[in-house]
Amino acid sequence: MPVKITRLPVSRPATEFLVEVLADEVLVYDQANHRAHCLSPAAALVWGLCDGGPSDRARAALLAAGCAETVEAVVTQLVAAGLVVAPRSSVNLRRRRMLRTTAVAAGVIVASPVLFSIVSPSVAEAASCGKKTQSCCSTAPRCNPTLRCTNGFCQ
Amino acid sequence: MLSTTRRSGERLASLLSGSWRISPPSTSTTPDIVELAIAGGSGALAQRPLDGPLAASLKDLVRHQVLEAARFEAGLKSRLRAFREAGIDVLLVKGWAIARRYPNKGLRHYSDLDLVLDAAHRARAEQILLAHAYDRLDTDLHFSIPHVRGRDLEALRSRLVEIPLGDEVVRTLGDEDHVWLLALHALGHGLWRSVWLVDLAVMLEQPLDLDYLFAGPRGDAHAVKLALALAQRAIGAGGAVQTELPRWLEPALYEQWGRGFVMYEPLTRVPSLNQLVDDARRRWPNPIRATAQLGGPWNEWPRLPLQLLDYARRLARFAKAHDDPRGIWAK
Repeated sequence: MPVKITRLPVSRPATEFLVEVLADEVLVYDQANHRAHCLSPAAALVWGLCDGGPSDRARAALLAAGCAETVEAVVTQLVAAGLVVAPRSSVNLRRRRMLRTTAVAAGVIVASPVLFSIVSPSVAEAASCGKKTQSCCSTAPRCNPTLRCTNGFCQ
Repeated sequence: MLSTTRRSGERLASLLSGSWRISPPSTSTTPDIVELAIAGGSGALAQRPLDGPLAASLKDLVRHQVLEAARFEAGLKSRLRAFREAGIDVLLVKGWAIARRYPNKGLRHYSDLDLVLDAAHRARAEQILLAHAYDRLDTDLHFSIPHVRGRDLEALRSRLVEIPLGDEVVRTLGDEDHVWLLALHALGHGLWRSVWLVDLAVMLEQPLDLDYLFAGPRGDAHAVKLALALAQRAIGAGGAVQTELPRWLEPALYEQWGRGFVMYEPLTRVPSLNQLVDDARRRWPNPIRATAQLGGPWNEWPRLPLQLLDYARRLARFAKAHDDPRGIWAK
């Protein structure tokens, strides 16, 4: 039985994120832990409303935008991604614990994700040219073909 | 009969053809060619002409690059602010300055910021960069503009452009000087990254003063012209540059692209003859790199002597630069 949320969590300060809005999704880079996330329009909508206020606003906004997702599903994933601080008031301790557990589970198994972390590209894609003395390792070759990865550095 | 690697390189060129334009032509390809595009830094560009599962498989890469572009912009702004407050004039070359010419943010991935400044400010500049280490963005400091030796520096200075970036202003080279730099840089690395040729294609489709562009040392000007003509021939760049390519040049490009990103094991001790032969085979410089590195003529003559010289030079450089002050040969 899903926990009904009456109040929205609070988003972490906007200065901690870089946000890029694309046509059908919102990309978020968390500068505190260097993690990247991709938000569906529903997740972005709810995230933007996360100020600790009543959740009814988010429910109405989702409805108005024609999103099928529930506030609970979205908040659960926002919490799991660490984009918001879990709601404090109006959810009792047992519920908060349940929410956290669900959030952790959601980070692992999400049938229909409204938010997911972005996988980094291949190392070669990130490689720069001619980067002498740039660090590297045998499993992550960052040296270009004119250099060798020696003792942890491109030489 | 064409080698498999060369055919793969040709297919990559075909995939990238026009991929930088606002409406790229649709095409299809196979996963191995997409891998080559990723290895050459043009994965996000390769996604544009594709659809279906292959395009979907590149979506995360595109997302990653969009966010990387946002990170670099934020990092560039904060560095520019710090340099301005310290009274240090900086010039940005490559990277962001070229990526801004692409139609979408994140299409052109870059992995560092190349800043040019007066060597007198080196110590202060390094302090500033140290203070910015928190954002994990690589910044390379240069104390002269790379690859412009022999060009008219007064004219170059008069053509510098200033581009607003938030509250800051980015100073960078004019288009013609940038094309010159990009072409010589790409040739010097054997054009192994496909995205470098796309950069030239993008720049070729800007309005360029060709007389000024090719005003410089004759050998370099010829090399720049060939690089641009190669972008036209291989990936369908527009522009008005016309020159004959040496017969070996285009096949050499495809061979290089078809090899993808090659990981080399370091030589940690004096190699046996077999190891040396194997190393030479894998590390054999492509003719483009050998010609550019040695300032050789871009003509129809065989490239083998230049390749031999370039390989010997690299080997010697590596031996000298190894941890042991006497080089690996002394062990």
